[in-house]
Amino acid sequence: MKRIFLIYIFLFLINYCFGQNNKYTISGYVQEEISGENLIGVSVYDKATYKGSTTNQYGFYSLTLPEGEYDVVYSFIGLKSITKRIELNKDLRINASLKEDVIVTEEVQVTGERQDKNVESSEMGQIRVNVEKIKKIPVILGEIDVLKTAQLLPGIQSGGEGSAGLYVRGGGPDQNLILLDEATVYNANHLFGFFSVFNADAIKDINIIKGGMPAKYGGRLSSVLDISMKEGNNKKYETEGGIGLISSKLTFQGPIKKNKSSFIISGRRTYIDILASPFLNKPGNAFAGSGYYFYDLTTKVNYKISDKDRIFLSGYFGRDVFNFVNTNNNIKIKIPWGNATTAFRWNHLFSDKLFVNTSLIFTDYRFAFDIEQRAIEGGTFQLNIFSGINDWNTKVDFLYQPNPKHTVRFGTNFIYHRFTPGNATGRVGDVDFSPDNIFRQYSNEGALYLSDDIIISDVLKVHAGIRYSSFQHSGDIRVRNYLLNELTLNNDNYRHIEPRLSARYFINPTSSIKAAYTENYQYIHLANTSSVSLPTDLWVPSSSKIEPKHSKQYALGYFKNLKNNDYEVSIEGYYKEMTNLIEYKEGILPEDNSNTSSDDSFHFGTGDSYGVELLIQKNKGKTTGWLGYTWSKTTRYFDSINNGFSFPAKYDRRHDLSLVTTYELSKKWTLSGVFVYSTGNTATLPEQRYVIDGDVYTEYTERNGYRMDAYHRLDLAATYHKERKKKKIIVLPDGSEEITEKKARLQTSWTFSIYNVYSRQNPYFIYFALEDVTAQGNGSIEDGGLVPKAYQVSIFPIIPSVTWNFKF
Amino acid sequence: MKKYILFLIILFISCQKEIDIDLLSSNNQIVVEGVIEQNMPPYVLLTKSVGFFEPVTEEGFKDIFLKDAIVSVERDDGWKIDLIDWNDSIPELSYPIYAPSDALTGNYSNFSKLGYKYKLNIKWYDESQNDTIEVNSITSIPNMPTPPLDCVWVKKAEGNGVKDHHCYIWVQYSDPDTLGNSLIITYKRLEGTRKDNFFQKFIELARTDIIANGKTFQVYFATEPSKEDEDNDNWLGGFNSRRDSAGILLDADVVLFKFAQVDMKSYKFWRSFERSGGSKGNPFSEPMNLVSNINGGLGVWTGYGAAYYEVEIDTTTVKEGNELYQPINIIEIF
Repeated sequence: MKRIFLIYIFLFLINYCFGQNNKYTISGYVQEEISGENLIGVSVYDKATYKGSTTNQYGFYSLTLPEGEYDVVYSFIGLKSITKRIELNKDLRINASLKEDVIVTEEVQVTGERQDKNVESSEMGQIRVNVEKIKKIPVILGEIDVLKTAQLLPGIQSGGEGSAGLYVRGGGPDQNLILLDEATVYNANHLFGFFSVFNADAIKDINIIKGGMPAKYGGRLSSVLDISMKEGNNKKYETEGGIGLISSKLTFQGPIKKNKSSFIISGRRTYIDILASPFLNKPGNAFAGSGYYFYDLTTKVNYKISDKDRIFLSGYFGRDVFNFVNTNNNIKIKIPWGNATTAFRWNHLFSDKLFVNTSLIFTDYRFAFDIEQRAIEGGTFQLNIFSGINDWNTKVDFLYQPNPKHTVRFGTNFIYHRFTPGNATGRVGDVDFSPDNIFRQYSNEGALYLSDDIIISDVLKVHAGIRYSSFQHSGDIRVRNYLLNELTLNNDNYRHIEPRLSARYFINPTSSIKAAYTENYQYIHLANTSSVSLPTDLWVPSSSKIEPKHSKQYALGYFKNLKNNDYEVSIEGYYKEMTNLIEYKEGILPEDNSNTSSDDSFHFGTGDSYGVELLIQKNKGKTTGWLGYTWSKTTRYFDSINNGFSFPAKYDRRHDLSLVTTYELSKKWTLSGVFVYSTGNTATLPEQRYVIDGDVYTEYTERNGYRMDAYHRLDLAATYHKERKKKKIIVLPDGSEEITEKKARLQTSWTFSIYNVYSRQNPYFIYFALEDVTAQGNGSIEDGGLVPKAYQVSIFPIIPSVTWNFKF
Repeated sequence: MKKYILFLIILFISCQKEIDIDLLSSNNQIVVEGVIEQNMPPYVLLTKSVGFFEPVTEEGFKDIFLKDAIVSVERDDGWKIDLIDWNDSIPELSYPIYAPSDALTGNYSNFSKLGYKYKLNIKWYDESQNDTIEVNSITSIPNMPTPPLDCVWVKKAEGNGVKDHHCYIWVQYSDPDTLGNSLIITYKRLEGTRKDNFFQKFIELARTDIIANGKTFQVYFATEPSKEDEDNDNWLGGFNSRRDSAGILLDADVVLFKFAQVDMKSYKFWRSFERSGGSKGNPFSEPMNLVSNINGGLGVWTGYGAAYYEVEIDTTTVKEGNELYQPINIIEIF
C-alpha cells in the first residue's frame, strides 16, 4: 500500500513538473491490418514538426501536443505509412492499422519517413531486427535462427563455427539477458549450440541491446535480447509451416473472438533420429535405440478485456533429448535438457499518458544425465545427475508520457530464484544413494528503476536512468570443505545502484553524436568447464565468496543518415571493464559439488574490452542489408590462471566483418547473401609432455595464447514465391462472363540456400595426437616411433539445403 | 559425458588436416611418481618433462629418467629417511627407482604407518639449466577402518557378447560416516591368461563418497581394456571395443585386488589422471593439466592406506573382509 502511495506521489510530482493545461494527448494502439498483430516501434509523429513518439512493446503509443490541428503520421518500415488529420482540442484515443507496402512509390517514401531513429534517438548500441527480414537470410540447413542473425551485427560474436552462442563486447555467454515475452531463457541453444531455441515463425520482433542498457533491464552485464512473440492473427485462421532437411515446423493461429482475442501455437521437431533409425535399428546393431532430437512448442493467447485492459498468456516448452544405447554392455544413457517458460501479462491504461504492464513469469531450465547399466542379474547400476534453475518473477513496468519532451519509465521487479546446482542420486542393486534432501539454493533478486528520455533542446536529448538492485539468499548456503571434512553455513546480501546515462546531440538534421555510460551488476553466474556453453553448465548464485559481477561501460558514437535516410551509418567506440568474473579452478568437475554448494570451486578475476564498431545499413529499396565491422580487444586478468599474467578472452577477435544483403530480383525471386570474416579463435596449446604410469600427458601453458587461422565464409540463398491465384467466373446480367482473379488461400515458397559456398575449411578446433611413424605400425614412446602432431578439424563444408514453406 | 557429446559432434566432422605450429621453448620440469604405503618402504620414480614437439628417440627416452637426484622422506614427527637410486645397484632395472637402501629387507611397519603425514624432498642438478631444482610434496596415509571391506566375491558377467568365462569382482563396502573418503582401486593378475608386472587400473580408478557417504552398498569393478585392444582399433571402433573388452576378468585368473584410501589431494590427481583421457582432443574442453600435488613440479606423491585380497576368479569364491592378504615386500605392491 505504501509503495502504491509513493507511486501516486511520484506521478503527481511528474505531472506537476511536466503538465501544461493547453495540451492534449493522442494515444492508442497500432496494429498490422491483415493480422491484427500489434506493432512494436512504429513512429507516430506530427508531420510538420517531427515531434513524436514510438509504440512500445505492446503496440501502445501516447503523444501529447498543444491544442491545434495536426497531420499525424504512423510510419513503420515495410508497411505503408498513413497520415491522419487530427483536430486536437481534447484527449483522443486513436487506434491505427498499417497495411503491407505492396507498391512502394517514391512519394510514399519521401513523405512517409521522419528523421530516422538512427540519428534521432538517444539510444546507443540498440538494434531492432525484423523477423520477416531475417527469414530471407541464408542459414545452415535452412534453419532460420534469430541468434545467428544477431551474430552478424557488429559487437556481437559467435562462439565458433555453427554456434548460436553470443559474446557481446567482450562479455561471456552468461552475461546476456535473453527474454522471450519477458521470461528469462537460461539456455537458448539446441544441439549444443548449433541452433537456437527460438522458432522464427512464432516471433514478431527482436530488440538487441549491446550497450547503453536502459534502466528497465538489469541482472546481466553485457546485453539484452528482448524477443517478442506473435500474438496470433485476430482476423482469420491461418496455418503456416515448413519442411526442411532436418526439421519441420507448423504454426496455427487465429481469432478466438474476432478483434478481441486470438491465439497462436507453433511447434517444431527435428527428425535426425527418425532418419537415422533404419540404419541404427538393424537387427544385431548394439546401438539400436540411440539417437538425438529436439522439439519446441510456443504458444500464446491474448484477450482484449476493454479499451484499457488487455491480458496475454504465453508459454514456451522445449527439450533436447540424447539417447545412447549399447546392448553389448547393457548401457543406456539418456540426457534430456530444456527450458520451459510461462508469462502472464496484463496491460492497463491508467490514462492516455500512463501505461502499465504487470507480469507474472515462471521460467525453468533443467538438465539431467541418467545412466543405467544392467551388468549382473539383479545388479543394475543407476546414476542420475540433475541440475537446473527456476525463477518466479514479478514485474510492474510503468510508461508515462506527459508530453513529447519526456518519456518516463519506472517500475519494479522481483525474482525468486531456485538453484539446483548439481545433484546426484544413484542405485546399485537394492541400495539407494539418494541424499536425504536435494541440495538447492534460494535467492531473492529485486530491483527498482526510474528513467526519463528528456528532450532538453532541439539538438540535445538525454536518457537518464537509475536502477537500484538487491540480492539476498533466503536460507543458508551449505559449503562443504573436503580438507577439513565439515559443512559450514554462509549467507550474504548485496545492494547496488546502477546509473544509466546516454545523450544525443544533433550536429545537423542528418547527423548526431551520442555518448553513454552504464553500470551493471550481475548476481547469478554461469559456471562452465568448457569453452562453449553446454547444457551441463551450472547457474550459481552470488554468496559471501562469489561476489556479484560488475561492469562499467563507456561509449561514444557518430550517427549519420544519407540519401533521404536510405542509408544509416553509425560508428561507435566503447570501453568496458568487468570485475568478479569467475572461472572454475583447474581440475574441478561439476560432480565435485554434487549435493552441495560450489562456492570453493572458482577463481575470480577481472576483464576489459574495448573496440570500435561500424554499421552501414540500407533498409529501403530493392537491395537491403548491412555491413558491420568491429575492431576489438578483450583481455582477462586472473591471479590464479596463466601464472597471473593477463590473457586474451576465449573469443577475443581483432577483426570481425559481416556483409548481409537481400535483393528483390522480381516479384517471384529474392536473392540474399552473407559474407563473414573474423580473426581466428584463440586456443591453449601444450608446452611440455611427460610420462606418468606409462602414458604420455601434456602440460598446457599460456591460456588462449595461440591464434587459429582466420574464419571466413560466404552463404547464398534464393527464395521463390509465386503468388497463387484463384480464378472466379462471374456471369453478368447480359449473359457474358467475367473472369476475376483472387489471391488463393494456399501460398507456398521455396528457399534454396548454400552454406559455405566455397567450402572454406574453417578451423573448428585443434588437437594433438601421437602418430605412429614406424612402417610396421608398432611404434612406442620408448623407441621414438610415436611422434606428436597437431591437427586442425573443420566442420560444415559446403552444405546446400532446401526448405518448402506453406501458408493457408 | 563429454565423450558422448563428442560422439555426436563427430558425425558432423567433415575433415581434418595436419598443421604446423611453432611453440616457444620452455624449461623441463621434474615429474614425480611416488608412493608410500603402510608397512612398506616409500619408492619414487623420477622423470622430466620434454618440449611438446621435441622428437623422442630411443636414446632420448632414456634421458627423461633422472639420475643422481637427492631424495628423502620425512615423517611429520621429524623421522627422516634417505632414498637411493636402486638402478646403481641393480642394473637389470631398466630405469632408476629411488627407495631406501634396505627396501627389500627392512621392516617399515614403524615408519610407514596409518595416520601420519610424509614430506618428500627432491634435489636435482639440471645440467641444461645449470641449476639445482628442488621440489617437495606432502601426503598422508589415511587412517582406514579395519577391515575396510565387508566382503569380496566373484560373479559371472552377463549381457550381449559376454562369454561364460567372463567375471566381475564384487565387494560390499560400508563407507565411514565422514565426508571425503577417497579410494584408489587397482588389481594385478597373478596367474591366468595374463600375468601383470604392475597393478592395473579399473575403469573407474578414483572414487569418493560424495553420494555414498555413510552407506553400505555392493559394487562391482570393471577392468580397463588391454593396451593391445586399444591399439588395434580406430577411434570409433575403439569406442566399441573398449566397451566390449571392458569389465572382463576370466575365470581361472588369480587376482591381487588392492583397495586403498588416499587423501583428497592425491585423489584429485588420480581423478584428473583418469578424466584427462576425456579432454584429449575434445573441442569442448578447456585443456586440462593433471592436478599435481608436487610443489614446483609435476606428478604425484601418494600415501596409500591399502588392503589386499587375493581373489580366485571363480564364482564360488567368497572372502570375508578380514581375510586380508599381507604383501611381503615392495615388489609385490609395485
